[in-house]
Amino acid sequence: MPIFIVWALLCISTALNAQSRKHALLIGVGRFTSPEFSTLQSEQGVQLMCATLLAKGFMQENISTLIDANATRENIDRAFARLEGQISPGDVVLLHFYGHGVQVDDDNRDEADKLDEAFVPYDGRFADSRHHQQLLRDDDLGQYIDRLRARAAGAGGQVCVVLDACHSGSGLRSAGTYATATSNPPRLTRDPTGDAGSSAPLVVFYSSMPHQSSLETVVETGKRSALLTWAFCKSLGSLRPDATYRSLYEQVCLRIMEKVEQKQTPLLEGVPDYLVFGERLNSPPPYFRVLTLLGSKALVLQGGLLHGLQAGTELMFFPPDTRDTSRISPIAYGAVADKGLGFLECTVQLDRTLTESDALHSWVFVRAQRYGTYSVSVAVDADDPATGEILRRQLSEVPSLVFDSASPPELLLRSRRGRKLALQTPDGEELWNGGYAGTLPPDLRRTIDNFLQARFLRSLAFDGSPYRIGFSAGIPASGSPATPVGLSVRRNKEVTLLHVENLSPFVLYYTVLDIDARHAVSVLIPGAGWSPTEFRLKPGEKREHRVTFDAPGREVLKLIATLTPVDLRDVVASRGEAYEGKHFFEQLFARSYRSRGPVGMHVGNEVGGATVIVDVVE
Amino acid sequence: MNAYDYIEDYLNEELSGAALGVFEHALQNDPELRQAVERHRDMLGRLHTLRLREQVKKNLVSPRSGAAMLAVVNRRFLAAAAASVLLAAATYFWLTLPPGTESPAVADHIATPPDSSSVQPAPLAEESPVQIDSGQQTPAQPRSNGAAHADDPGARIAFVEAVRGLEKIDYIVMGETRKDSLLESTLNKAIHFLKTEKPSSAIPLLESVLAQNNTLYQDDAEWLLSLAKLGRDTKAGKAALEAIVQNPAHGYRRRAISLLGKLE
Repeated sequence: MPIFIVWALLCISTALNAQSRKHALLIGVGRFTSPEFSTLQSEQGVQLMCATLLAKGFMQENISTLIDANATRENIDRAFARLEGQISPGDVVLLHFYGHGVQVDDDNRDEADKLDEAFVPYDGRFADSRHHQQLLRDDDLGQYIDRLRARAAGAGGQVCVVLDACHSGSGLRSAGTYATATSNPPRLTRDPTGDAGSSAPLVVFYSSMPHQSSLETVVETGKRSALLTWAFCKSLGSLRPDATYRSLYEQVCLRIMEKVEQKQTPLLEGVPDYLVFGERLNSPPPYFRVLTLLGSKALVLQGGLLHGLQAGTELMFFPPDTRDTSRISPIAYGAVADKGLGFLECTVQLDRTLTESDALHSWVFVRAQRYGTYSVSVAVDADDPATGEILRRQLSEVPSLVFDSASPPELLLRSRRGRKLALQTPDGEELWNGGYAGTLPPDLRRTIDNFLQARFLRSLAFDGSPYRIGFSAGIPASGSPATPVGLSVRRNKEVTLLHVENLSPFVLYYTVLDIDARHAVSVLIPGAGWSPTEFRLKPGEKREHRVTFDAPGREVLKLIATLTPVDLRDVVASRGEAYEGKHFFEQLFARSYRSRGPVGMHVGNEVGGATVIVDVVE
Repeated sequence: MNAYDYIEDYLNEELSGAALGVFEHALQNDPELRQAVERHRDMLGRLHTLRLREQVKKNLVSPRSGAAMLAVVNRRFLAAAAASVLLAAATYFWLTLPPGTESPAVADHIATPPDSSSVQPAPLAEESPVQIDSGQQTPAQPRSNGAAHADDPGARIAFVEAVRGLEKIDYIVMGETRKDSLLESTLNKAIHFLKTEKPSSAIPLLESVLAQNNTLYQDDAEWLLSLAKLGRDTKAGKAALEAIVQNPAHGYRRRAISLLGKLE
């Protein structure tokens, strides 16, 4: 009998332990020892989060709260230490911060904008960016979270952070996704996915961009609440069981937009393709989001020429979290209209009426690419006439390719003995070579696309744009002045210093594309681990970036300046992972641009920019 | 005591005793507080001017004395006489036109017969003069609003739908910036005017908020101003909305795109 009792107790204990794998630390600071901060409804916010988590399977005894006078800097440090001791491998951890956030001077040179973000504890003091005490800097918070991730590492382990405070974007500096100060553009210091096994995956919800304010306002209950906390809890409460953090984030954004439109832009960081508090899913194919409806059968899509969308491109609209478009029917079809096609947005005509809710929540996939006026002329040179004829027929099915005997071809496809293919430029540069087994190799198609994409980007000119930005390159050691063209550097040895200066009267964000000698395009800035929101220049502001090039040849660097942050790497996650080893941006571009026009044919009106050419030598 | 919460009380001379002493001490030592007080004082001055203007309008529209009533009757008589002369001249001009021809100016203004199946909203009621600070509207005789949307019922529907969804502005910034309750109350008064279809009364309030260059409320004020302009004049409203759409960083750009889409 006693053995049975012990066994029963062990079973109960095991069951309880199995249920106790979700931990939460909720910190709400709405009252302060310092009078400069206004009072916040943090207690209500923490209670709302607590109730939401209890409904989602968290146990009361595993939820710790620190509210107002209890949330001193010292108590926060202790709470983290205590939580660290309670976590076992494979546990889920949720951290919630509700309070004031400030920006202070960066103390370890890891910030692009030279400002650290900091959370204000109950005893925090803030006079200005230099004079402050007891603040919880992003670097400190990042270290705490690194330790929690290390403890939770294991099957099912996960750390989710909800940071609801002003300037919260990038508020976890060094939490595994960020660079050290020495490299810029940086390299990942640690994988946010946790795939290496040493730390649990991380997903972070920030209430606003680093330079933005976060707001507390009256919500539908008539009570005051910080918007991210309210939107997160409300969305989490109504979420489908198979929803991911990606769709949770999108719902949060829509709810906040309902209240304050785009005055406050939440950010998502880390790995969005996990079920909420659950397992990992495959990343979805690249997709777009709807900005707004235009009448009953038209809408504005958040994607344009820079994302590879051309007039006539056919689109499919699916519910959120659709990962396999072959298994369900789309809720609507659409096509990119001629009118309203811009660099960053386009107008889409729908085949049927969509409700505003369905449209705003939908994931939009490309069904059939159209190339508009862009094309490239190609010639086939085959030593075997029969193979040459087959190749011409196969190439003629590629909509962007034309056989124009009246003018010199821009690409030459050579075939030898019907088995070997090589793609060359007219001056003999080989872009690709490989075997031929009767069908066009996908790599060949991709190489042609890359060629066209690179040429389109090279042709971008921004002379008429009001968003004027200075962009030049130099070698720091030489002391030579920066030059916009013709800089020659040695590969892997010499550092190239890129100078960026905002010459416009607007606040501008910028991204730098690198088109290499083999016509491959990649995003140089923001580098991995950085958010586009951090590459922001006030009027007259300057910034420098150090880069090295590892392959010889001519590099064309295209800087694109916009009024709002644009992530050409990924439509949704600002610091997410790449898609299946290939960059999202490259996938979008993969079948996009066809151009026969002269250099400089495109004049940016929504975007500004500049070009730098660097010759990389041995 | 957070002195910033008491600025309005201080300017309204509602602080006394220890509270007044603490506030004045803070005022001496905090230059930012002094600036905030000056801003509030300026705003109150603008509101006072507006109140006076509304009072004058009210007195003109609602004459109480017999002499004033007589003056209005005389003015109406003169206006009627002038209108009769103009009508007679226009009739003579029309009758002397050759058959089959039509003055382009007249053709442009021939109204299309209304489609009985479509929604025909009533024209906007012009706003009544309002006591700004009393918090209560003084009922007054409705006037014609100049038929702002008489030629564009779609614009009126879009305006009414847009203002119906407006909510009170009540922000607390979760950072170092302090709440500006006076700007918020001015914006909320403007929202009240919009929701009660009195766009003309909202416009000076919104312009006074914009003059403060407060980045937190700038986008709200511009959005509300575009609605107020739309409520008064479709063309001006569209122009204001297009200006918002042209600014990708504007917080209300999405709504402006959507509203313009409805107006097309």
